[in-house]
Amino acid sequence: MFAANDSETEIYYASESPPDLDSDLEENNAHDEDLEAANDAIEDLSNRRNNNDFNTTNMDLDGEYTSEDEEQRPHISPAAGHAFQRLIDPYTTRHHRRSSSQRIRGFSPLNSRLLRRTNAITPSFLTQHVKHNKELGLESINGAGSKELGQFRLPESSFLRAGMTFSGTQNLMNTQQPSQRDEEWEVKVTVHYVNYKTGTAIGLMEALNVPNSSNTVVTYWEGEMIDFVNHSLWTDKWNSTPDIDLQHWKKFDAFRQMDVRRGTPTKEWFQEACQKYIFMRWKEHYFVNVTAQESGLTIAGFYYICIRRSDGTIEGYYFDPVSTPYQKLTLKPLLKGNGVSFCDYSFN
Amino acid sequence: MNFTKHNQAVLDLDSSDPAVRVKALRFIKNNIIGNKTKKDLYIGLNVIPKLVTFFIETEGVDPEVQIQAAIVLGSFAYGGEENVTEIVKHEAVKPLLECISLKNDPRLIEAAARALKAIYKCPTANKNDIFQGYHLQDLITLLDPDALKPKTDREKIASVHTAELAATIIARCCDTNEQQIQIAQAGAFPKLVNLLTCGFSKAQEAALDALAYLCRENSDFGKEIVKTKSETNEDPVKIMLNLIRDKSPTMRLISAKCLTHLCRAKAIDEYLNDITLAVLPTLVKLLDEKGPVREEAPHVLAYLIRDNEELQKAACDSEAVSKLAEFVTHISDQNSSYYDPLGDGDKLKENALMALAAISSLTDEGRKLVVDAKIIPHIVAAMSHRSYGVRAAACQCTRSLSRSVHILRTNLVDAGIATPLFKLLSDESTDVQTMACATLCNIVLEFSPMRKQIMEQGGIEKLVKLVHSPDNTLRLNAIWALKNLVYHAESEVKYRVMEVLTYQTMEKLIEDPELDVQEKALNLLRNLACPKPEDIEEVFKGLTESRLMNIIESKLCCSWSDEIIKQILFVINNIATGNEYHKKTIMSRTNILTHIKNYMSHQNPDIRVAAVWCLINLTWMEDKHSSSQLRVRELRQFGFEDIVKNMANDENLDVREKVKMALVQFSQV
Repeated sequence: MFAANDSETEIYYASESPPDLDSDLEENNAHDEDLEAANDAIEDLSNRRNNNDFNTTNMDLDGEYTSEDEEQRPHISPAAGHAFQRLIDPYTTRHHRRSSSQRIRGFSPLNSRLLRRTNAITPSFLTQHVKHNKELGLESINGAGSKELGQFRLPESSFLRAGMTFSGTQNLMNTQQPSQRDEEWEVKVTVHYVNYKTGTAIGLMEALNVPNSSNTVVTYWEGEMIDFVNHSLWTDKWNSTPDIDLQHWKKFDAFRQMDVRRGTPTKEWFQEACQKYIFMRWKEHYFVNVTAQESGLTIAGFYYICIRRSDGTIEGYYFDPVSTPYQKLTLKPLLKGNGVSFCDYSFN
Repeated sequence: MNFTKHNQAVLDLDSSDPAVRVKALRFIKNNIIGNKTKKDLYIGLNVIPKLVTFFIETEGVDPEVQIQAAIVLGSFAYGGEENVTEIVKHEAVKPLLECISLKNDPRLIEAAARALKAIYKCPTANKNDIFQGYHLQDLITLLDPDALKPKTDREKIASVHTAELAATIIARCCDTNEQQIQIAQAGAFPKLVNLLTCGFSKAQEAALDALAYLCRENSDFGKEIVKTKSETNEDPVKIMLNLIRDKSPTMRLISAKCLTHLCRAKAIDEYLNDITLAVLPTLVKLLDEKGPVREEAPHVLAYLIRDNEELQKAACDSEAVSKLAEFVTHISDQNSSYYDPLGDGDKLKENALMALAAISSLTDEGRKLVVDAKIIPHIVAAMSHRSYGVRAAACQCTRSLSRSVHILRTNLVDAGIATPLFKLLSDESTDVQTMACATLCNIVLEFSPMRKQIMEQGGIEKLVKLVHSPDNTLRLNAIWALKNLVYHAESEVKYRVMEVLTYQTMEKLIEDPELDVQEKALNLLRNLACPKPEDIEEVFKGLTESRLMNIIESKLCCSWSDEIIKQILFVINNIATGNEYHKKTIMSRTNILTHIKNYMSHQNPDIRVAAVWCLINLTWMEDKHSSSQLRVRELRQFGFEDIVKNMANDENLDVREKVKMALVQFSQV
């Protein structure tokens, strides 16, 4: 579990300085729904008027904060996780800007609690969030909302660019018998389209020397970047659940570096994670060169992906309820020369 | 046997008795009003030159004769483009312009203005005539109904009518920027804004039309118009926002058009709300009207939402796509020209396709809507339409849709769009060729299943031919398509392309007078010089090392375009991924190294990143080869290590990451 802040994201990404993790959660009208669904106590959250820490004349929205106070927080089962996402109350008349003191504040200790509330992130909650983001976009037309949020984008990486080819392997990660290397095949991935504004990417994936198959199998995939505006950590589709999402995200080194003791990632962890990695989901949509049957493969699942910014290494885990779990994808940039070259196209 | 009545009437025009002339003129007028056959008849009897003489030899010509003659000429002018050509041929325009001088009888002014209005509807008339002498000033003065000092009600109505005519003439003679300037300088704005408040719809519509053309693509004038209040102290934009709710569809359309032009001229940014909530929906609802309003509404809509993602999204939320799709699928096409011999449905189809192209130009949402409206087969059919406007619009629509990787690979392939599109590269109209070529840029991409087909049909050869076109846009689109063609392409394809294009031509394009063309040609070079050393070697062979380096050096030092600098840095970058020899050619040229060093502190992060990548590839360690170590030492001596050390806190994350990478490579030696 961790608090992901996308409230000031436009400021942090626009200026390329580390993200600030105000973990405020504005309530929206879906909240009542969530209360009912929140039977598992995931985390204790408080709903409080933000009197002490910042300039209330600037902001008049309810906020919820994660607790950094361990004692007050019960053990968090991985059953349901949530991310704090900024939701603008559609009924506020203005989008209030945070003062600098708020931005610096980060996680705040709980001085007083007006209300204890549990808050589960349910699919409906998420849908509301995505809808809200769309509305934010519309708000910016009307001038009522924040224009910057509509123009947010993840910082780019040279390695996640159209024309980049990666090669490596996909293999079944069998922790019981690490020597078992039966199922492994070579994989080549070419990225053909990247849009940091919409947080999407498109490419082709080629599986070579697939066991029990004579052809190479090429599939077309579409990817989403976890940028917390267009897409969140929660898949909310493709037979996944927040539980499953967490299980997979935690497989990445990046996530393992977080402070597990507290169970909640610290602000520092999260800042670093986004500076070092780009998280994505890749979903194959169809076979390109063979039929599904001919290939002997399934593309019903999807990959959790982590791209390391420093060298373009890609780590991925395939999830599909009916497949062997945790098939691991390992890729690195395929360099045909003595260095990294870049070709380019543009749509007319 | 005797002369026909008509012949007699024409002969009577020569009479010295003005009463006879007037009678004859009235007779002719009554016969030709609304009657094309009679109009043709009289033209055949050579009546027009006779009428013109009444204005040239003004001495001794009865004013009533002139008035009636002007009315008759006007009537002819309303009979179509051929008639106007005749009138223009006989040099009627200048004399008519003399007639609108304020010293004349108001009835003459009105009649002459009416004739001129019809004449200027056609492209044949020379629109520069009004800018000679006092004509423009006269027109501007006439915009004020009080200028002619009307006394009776009838006179007042006639004055307003004259004002309306003057405004329309101005609107029709306002095509170029120079014309806009002259009209504005003559004092048009306040008068036109006042006319907006006169209460007579036709005059208001004419004023709106004139204002629309005066601010078209003209930000300064747009802003000035917005600031010009009427005599009653009303705000023109507020007036327009009111008129856009008028019960007359024509009024709504012209108000929407004027507001659209102001919006596009960036003159009413603070009214964005109203644009989205009033103008856009109005235009969409006007699609339900009939006739010319329905035909023009899509054209205005397309212009309004062009380049504007938010407005396109708003258009997606409206009923626009389904209504426009109707026009494309149900209006008669070429096969049923029997039902539409004059091609009246053509313009509607063209405008509808352009509007659909606009809605789907920037967002996947728009593209999906257009695809779901099931019009792609009709777009394909429209590519062989008799009207070149429709063909071009079909290409434009395809172009918008082809910007989606998904649609490119599915719907467009399935519809078999490649072959008809390719055919249009040889269309008789340059506009169509240009538009088809623009679309092909996307069709030939590596991930497009239609690429192979295009190449097999001689696509490379055709594109290379077009790359020599004198038309700037066509040439740009052709080199763009070739550059896209070699993106991530197999070496065989690259080889084939250059075999047809030749390195010589590419060099020429790199020095093209159009910067955009230069940039695309450099991008082509960049795509050729990767990913394998063999590809780089081909480029070295094709250009020769010295010419290649000259190109690089000259572009590095004399470029003021960020895009060009970026491309050339990537050319260097790609060469630097080659073998020893390739890297050495870069290393041995201190000019190039100096430029790379300088560009590392460029304000554009993309350029900084490209420069650092050059360094990374030059310091690349191939198996601890001794020459790599040498290079690293040389670059260190050149000062590169210190520079990147200082870039550790660059504001751009990608730059910081690449700097780290470079420093690691330096640290290995």
